[in-house]
Amino acid sequence: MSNALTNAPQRPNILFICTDQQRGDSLGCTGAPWAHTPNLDQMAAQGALFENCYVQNPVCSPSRASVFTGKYVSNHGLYANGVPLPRDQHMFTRTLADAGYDCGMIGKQHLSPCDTWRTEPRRDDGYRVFEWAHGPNHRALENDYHRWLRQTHPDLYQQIFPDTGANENTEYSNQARTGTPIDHVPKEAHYSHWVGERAIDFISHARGPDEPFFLMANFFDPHHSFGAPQEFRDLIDADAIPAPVTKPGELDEKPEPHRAYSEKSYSGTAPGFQDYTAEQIKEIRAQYWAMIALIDHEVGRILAALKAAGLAENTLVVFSSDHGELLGNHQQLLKGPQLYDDLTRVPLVMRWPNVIGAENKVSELVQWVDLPATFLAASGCAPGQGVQGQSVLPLATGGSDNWRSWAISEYRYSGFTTDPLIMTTMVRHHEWKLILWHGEPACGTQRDGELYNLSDDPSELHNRFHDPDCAEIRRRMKGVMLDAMAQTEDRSESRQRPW
Amino acid sequence: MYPPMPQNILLILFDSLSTATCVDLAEQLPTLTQFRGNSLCFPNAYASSPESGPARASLFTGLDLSAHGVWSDGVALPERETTVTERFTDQGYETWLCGRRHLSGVSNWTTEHARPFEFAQFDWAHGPHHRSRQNAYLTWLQAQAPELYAQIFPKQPNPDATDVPEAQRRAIRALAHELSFNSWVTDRICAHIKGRATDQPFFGVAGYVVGQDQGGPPDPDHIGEAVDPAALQQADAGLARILDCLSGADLLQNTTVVVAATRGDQDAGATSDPMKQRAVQTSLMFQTAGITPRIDSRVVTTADLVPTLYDIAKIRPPRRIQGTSLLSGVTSAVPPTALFRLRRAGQQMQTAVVQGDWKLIAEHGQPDDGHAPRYRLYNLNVDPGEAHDLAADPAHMADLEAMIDVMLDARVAREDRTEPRIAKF
Repeated sequence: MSNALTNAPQRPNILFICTDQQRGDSLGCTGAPWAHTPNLDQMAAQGALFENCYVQNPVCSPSRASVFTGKYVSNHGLYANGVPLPRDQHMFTRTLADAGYDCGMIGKQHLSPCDTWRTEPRRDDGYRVFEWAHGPNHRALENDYHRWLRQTHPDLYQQIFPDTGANENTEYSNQARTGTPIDHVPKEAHYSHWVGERAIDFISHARGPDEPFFLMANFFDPHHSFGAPQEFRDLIDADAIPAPVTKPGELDEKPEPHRAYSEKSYSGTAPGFQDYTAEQIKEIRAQYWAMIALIDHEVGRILAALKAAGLAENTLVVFSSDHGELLGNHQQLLKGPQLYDDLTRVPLVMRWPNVIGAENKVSELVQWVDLPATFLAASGCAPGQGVQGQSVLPLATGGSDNWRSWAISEYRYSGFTTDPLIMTTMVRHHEWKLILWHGEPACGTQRDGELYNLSDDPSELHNRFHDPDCAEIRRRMKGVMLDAMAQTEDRSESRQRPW
Repeated sequence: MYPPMPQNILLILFDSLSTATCVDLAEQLPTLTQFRGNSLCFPNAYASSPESGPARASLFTGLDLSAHGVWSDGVALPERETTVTERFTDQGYETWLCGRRHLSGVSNWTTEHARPFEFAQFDWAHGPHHRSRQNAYLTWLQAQAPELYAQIFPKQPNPDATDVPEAQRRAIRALAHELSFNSWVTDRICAHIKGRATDQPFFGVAGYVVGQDQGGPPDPDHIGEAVDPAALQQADAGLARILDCLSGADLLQNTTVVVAATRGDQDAGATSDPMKQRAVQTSLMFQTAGITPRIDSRVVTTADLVPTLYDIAKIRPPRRIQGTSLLSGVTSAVPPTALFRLRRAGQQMQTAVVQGDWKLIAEHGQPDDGHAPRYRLYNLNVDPGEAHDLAADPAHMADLEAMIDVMLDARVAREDRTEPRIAKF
């Protein structure tokens, strides 16, 4: 363990800023010079930037369940959107609250179904503050963003939502080809601004000297629908953004379902890449980075509030996202069973002054399942039963030379369902990445796969799965996947007797 | 039109008994052999683990290791899981168990308790050598033959010194047939059948112990145990008495009798291999009115047992269930698979899969190493004894990879996805 970590302040505040559907390479500091992310870039410069953070699932709810429970998707039971997190699963926020942390959650959580404008129920979550809004277009009566909007901008609210909303209109924003009206409201009325406002309020709450806080501030953006306030769209030069990554005939060398996901997104239920012109895709990409620019603006305000409250030194700030977005790459949009880095690799930035040194770029493979272990380690709490990840603090502070060399992501018909069902598993080991499209007895899809060498093909354009020259590496990677699957099983039930 | 009579269920459960042993010892096991011929028999029923605790947890819940979480002996079945006997109790059945259960750790002469409301009668005994003060068999033996008991067990048991003296082993082996553990199990079952005062349907479990450890500590260097032939014959005779008893009570028509084993067994005296066929391959046999006796050789798992019982008794299964009723037809063109795992602490983890003629065993390493697991590949059709490992044979490279694919998919198939999807997102 590094000296910095040994001497770290006890029980720091923890501020976890989480976005939705944000690619790992979407920040200025992660390879997107056209991005307008000065605050996040500065935060990365002041702390640790994890270059290879993988989520355990490429869609919202299963991925978030991994972060709240610290378990892999095959263990926590929330394998698909629309499945509630099983009641016996323990949230790390409960552990923090029991240890005296003042816990809060603002924005989207998604540990239970939210379809048909359902209000997400509270769990044994340990929060004092739960200001929930599944999204800006989500019409639950208890959408706290809408409550705020009704109070702060009543005319705007009435104009955008003139009626009470119909339950069958629940996929309104999924099916929108462009931004919806609520995406384009002035900054001061935007969901991202609401998250910033409420986070600042939470940070400013009076607390005792031995009452640290944990806050998860959840932005909905840059989740589609693709739209942002005009002043942030104006910050983005669409011409500076490269065209989507693909090559002629790419879909021909990928497993068959890729073709269907190119035609339509969300298992055939939402507009697909092929429904758009190149010019429209270009605008989608610009709007995507405009949403990120607004997030960055709000992150800047939150960090400034932290500083103004005198809490910057003693707060571990973490920025990440629950999964990525295809954004036209590989001739596809949104997300689904595809386990490209576009969807599985997310930004991860950590700042903790005097503990995490500046300009620390971490190239090791870390995973979202490591985040709760990290929060618990920082807080001095023991990891709860079943928490499977490892604290990344030793990596962030430059004191670990024995980190795992693999990452796993598991899709279990987690997005919109298909017939037959689709299940995919990704394992990355050093520079190689294997994606299996499972067949019988797991599901009725034709068994197939993808194999990429990320060192010479970081965009995952050249599928080597069926390349005879790669047969040995393919078999070896299947073995790594078998070992990783065995390693990640939940064997946390205690063995009380030898037999 | 009257509603159909509820089906009584009698589960005759052996601790360690492979299909191979049933066949090898057929002549010495007249009742079992005859029962096999008169039943719907699945001789390719695989346990989920060669260890007793995980295998029993699967058999009593219909769940795989990945769901019930009992990954090794000594791990108790989590409270959240519903056993088949709890479910039948909830449906108005009178439930009883006589003999072994093993759904929690019992070493150090630890007593195993029934769950609240699980059994109306719980005549529990892990085996004749297990010295828990609550061992119902030893209490009975002491009452039946106090002097003999005092000779066999001259001292109070010590939970920190649980080796079974050889003299005790000899004395238990030498007990008269009617004083043996399995005869006691049979007596208790028959007493329940004869003593029924109501028309309440029943679900009885006869927990026979035929493994050579007889409830004493297992060999720490080996997983699984060989069968004790004398104990097995006592159980065989017991089965005959139970069937006679059912017939005498005019209950055969509306009682489903199931013979099953928790797991397989090991070759006597041979070096044990926990992943060999005989360690996990057992038979499931159903004798019930309306089901035509036949042999069904498809690969099934012992986790399919309880869904089948729910099907027979027309009881809705609990929400958490993974096995499927064996009465349902074959729905897939792909040959069924069996997957079993060894996850004992301190030992190398192993996973095996069987599909069609082929069997693959993977000895897991660390994924960090980047090496593949050490594989063993067998063609069970031409090499049922698993003597010729083909994993390194270049001629079978395609077969090896095909079975690796099957293992990966079978592993995914058994993940816990029992929580229902109630909305699109």
